[in-house]
Amino acid sequence: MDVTSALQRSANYTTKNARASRQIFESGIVVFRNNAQYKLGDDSWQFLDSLALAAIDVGRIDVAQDCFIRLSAEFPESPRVQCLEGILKEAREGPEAALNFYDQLLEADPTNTAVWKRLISVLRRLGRIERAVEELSKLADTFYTDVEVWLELADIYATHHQYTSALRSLSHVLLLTPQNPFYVLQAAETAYTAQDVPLAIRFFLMVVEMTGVDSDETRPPPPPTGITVRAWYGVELSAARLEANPALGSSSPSKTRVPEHLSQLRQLARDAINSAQVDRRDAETEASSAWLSR
Amino acid sequence: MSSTKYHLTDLAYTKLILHALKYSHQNVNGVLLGSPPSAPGHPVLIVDAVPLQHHWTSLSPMMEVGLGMATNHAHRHQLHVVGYYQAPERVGDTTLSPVGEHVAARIKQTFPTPIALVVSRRMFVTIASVLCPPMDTDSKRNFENRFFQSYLSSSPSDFRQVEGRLTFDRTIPTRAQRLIRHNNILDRFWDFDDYLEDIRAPFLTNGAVQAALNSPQQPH
Repeated sequence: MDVTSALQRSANYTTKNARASRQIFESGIVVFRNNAQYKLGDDSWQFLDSLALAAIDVGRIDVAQDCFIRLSAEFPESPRVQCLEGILKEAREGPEAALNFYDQLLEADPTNTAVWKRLISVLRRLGRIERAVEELSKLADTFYTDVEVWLELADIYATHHQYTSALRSLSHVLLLTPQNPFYVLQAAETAYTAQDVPLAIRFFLMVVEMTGVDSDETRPPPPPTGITVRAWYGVELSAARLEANPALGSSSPSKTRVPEHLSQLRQLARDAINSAQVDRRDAETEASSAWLSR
Repeated sequence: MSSTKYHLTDLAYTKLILHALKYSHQNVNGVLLGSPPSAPGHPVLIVDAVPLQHHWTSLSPMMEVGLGMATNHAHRHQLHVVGYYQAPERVGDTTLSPVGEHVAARIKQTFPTPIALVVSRRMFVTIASVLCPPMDTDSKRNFENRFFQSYLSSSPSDFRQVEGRLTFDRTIPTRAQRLIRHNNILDRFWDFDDYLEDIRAPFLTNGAVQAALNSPQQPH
């Protein structure tokens, strides 16, 4: 890869804030080796930070260390650079050493949320789930509007099969960012797993509504794309489950009402999925229609 | 517990590696397709793998849909869903997750001796270094353990760790590595979660993998 195209790619990853470690590392290392990061202007420090993290992900601790040395020379007191130092410690000295380091940093500055989040991630890795949940709850109390914290809490609960608690954490996420369909989708799938199928249907349909294209009523809606398709699969599955087991409808913990006309709703979902796959003759379309007509 | 053995073909092996590597900082899972032993004493042949999830492996609705589609796909090719695999996000984690147990128990309803594999992250912590350190000095058992932890069911829903049941071609790790390095194969490999974002992703077949395995190795 030549330096110019490597620079261009690196700039792209930096602005898009994507976590594509392999690609970031591959183009970033070319820029770094040629000492060309200054050409990124103000983004050059951000670049070093991303390259360091990507390097750790792909196992090149040596490169991460070089990035860290430059960053800490420029910003010795920066919480973010301290955080990077901790991550390097995790990779080189193991989680226990990093844990001590994070505890010390937090004692000096309890508002350093980046370090707080790393501490929690290390606790999870060590299997100290109770303390991880405790720290997360404290963090959520102090910084209520931090969506990441609620999502992490929901993830811990779901991993440990406490789906109702996961759903409660997600309800804070939905209050804080009601316009993000991905979080509604996550809530839908969590509700389904928590056996609250009527609530799952409601959330799945919300995703469809939020992501669908507005169409005038005289013409049929355009075929769904992206996560709308996922949501329609969810509608179909949930409706089928309620049809097969009506008792699930009356035992909804959130007291959500079962939609009327389940079989029509199911047909609507099938039609939507089929319309997305129209004209396709691949193995996936065949398997999908076979599954839908189960 | 049955004494069934299992053989992992190159195609299935490569897909497991690609899935774990493509989403190297997430938990991933999927199912294994194959056929029952052709004669007593022969292994269950695992001929293919269908990668399913990388977003949330602890939530169930899309797992149900993915499993349903994979089962239909298997039947169309006279195959069965014979097992489940997962690659945990964390290095060193080799326990079969409760979700994995649940899915494997579901598979058992249609295939009597399913296997559940936990892919070891340790073997490909880096793509820059080699996928597998020198291994020829290892005993056969160690070789299996370095890559996978196998689980078989002892009762309908209880899966126990076992050893010495899984075989695969010893040269495949090195060949898989070459594929990843030189063919950009990761950009042409998708799972069911990808499919649910863009239905053009051929997650059931991932034909590019078979094609790359068949093509003569490019010198580099």
